[in-house]
Amino acid sequence: MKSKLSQYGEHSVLIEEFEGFPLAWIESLERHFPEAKVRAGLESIVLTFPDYSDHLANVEALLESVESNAVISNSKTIEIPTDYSGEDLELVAKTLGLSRAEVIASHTEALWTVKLIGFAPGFPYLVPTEGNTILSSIGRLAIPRAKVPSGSVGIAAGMSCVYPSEMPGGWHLIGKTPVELFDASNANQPNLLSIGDQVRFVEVKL
Amino acid sequence: MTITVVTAGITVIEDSGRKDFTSIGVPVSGAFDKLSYVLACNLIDENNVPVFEILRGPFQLTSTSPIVLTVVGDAKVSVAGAISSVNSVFVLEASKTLLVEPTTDAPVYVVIKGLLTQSVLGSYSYDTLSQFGPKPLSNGDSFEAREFDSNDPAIGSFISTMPKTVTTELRYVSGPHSIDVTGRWKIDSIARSGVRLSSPTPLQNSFASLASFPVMPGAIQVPPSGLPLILGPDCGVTGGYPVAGGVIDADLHKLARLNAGSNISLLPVTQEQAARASQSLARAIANAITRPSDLGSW
Repeated sequence: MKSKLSQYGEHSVLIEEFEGFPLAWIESLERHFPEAKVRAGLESIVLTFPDYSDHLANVEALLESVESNAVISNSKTIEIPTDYSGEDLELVAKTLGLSRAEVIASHTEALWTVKLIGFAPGFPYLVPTEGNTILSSIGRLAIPRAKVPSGSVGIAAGMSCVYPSEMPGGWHLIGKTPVELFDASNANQPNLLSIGDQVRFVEVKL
Repeated sequence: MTITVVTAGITVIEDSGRKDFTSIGVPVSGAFDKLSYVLACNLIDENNVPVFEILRGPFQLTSTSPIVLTVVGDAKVSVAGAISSVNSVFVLEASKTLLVEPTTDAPVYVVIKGLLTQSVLGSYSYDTLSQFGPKPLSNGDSFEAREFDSNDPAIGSFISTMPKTVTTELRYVSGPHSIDVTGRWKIDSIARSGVRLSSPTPLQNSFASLASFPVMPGAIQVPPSGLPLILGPDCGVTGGYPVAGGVIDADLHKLARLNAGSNISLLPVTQEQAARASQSLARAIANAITRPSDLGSW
């Protein structure tokens, strides 16, 4: 599969301009370059190596040998019980010309894939596993909130998220969940969600 | 034994950073001035230990029983009113108060041998941006340390040859985005999250905002203003601004030593040059310290 590779500062390589979700690439890169850190962007992958070598050529050679969209086995599906009482649910419904129930239905019917964990510890960027939802035209808030409560479920730019702790944020908040996404006291597996996992939101009343 | 922070100033606990969790959104953090940090660890003959990073002084502490410590950085140090020295390992006697007064804006490191603190995800570092990790120090905080050894061979060690470092120049390796940031810039502000540059002639930035991608300390971001921002240890893990390059490892510590209002030059180098600069800094660090046992007797 085609892609563009660039040197990124002293130790890193940026991979971009590929199609689809490159989970198989991420896995192969981690397997072939155990000394490197492999991190996903929304439409990119960055490898950071501890020392100097011609990493660009090595990475290019590996990518040519791997199908990026090959099916991988160890991703899991997780249900996130969500109370759709978010402060912005009404605004989202109004903007889209939908009822609140239609917004909720669109969010719960979609299967979501964890594309990236970034921004803050354990913060998942979720994209629809198939195509787009009718929510995808909703952007970010014009003025971000200084404090978004932990467990808030948000949507923005075709994606969904769950805030793993209280932090500033600019996504439209449509619900909240009691599920703990990030546990800093568990150093072996602090994150509930991993890249490639599937997420389904299930409506509950809290 | 109880070590008490009498005057905290603005002081955080740091180590070499929390490197293994960036792929799940946890910032690297770690000591801002890595050179002073490594020298301080080597002085006290420990590796990757938690230290107090004084961002603003004065700082004072006392202990109910003797402790072995060192202070590294630009500072005046005194014990119970008597002048003591930076960049050397000494014993702070019981109930005497250590006073550290930084003489520049650069961070100053206080390292106590055997200091016991809580780690979070395998590191003692505090991230000022996400407020992740052990909390910053407050007046009256108390700590424990491992048992004092009056024969500790580190006692009396000192920095005899300070590694030379030119803080008017930052070397960087270009990429991934083609923006030329070479030249002179004025330092606008300095924080652990990053260093802002300014200039009467900002860069032309034709890049649209990008889909968020991983960033790291040292990355030179160019926001729409055309005024670069060099990310520090407490940067977020992803960013959406184009990145002109990355400050090389051997120069990262300089970010902590810059002075707001002064000028620096950004100088592009190759990966080979960056690797050589790292080797030469490592040699300078290895040759920096003299131990009492090195001096022999005559």
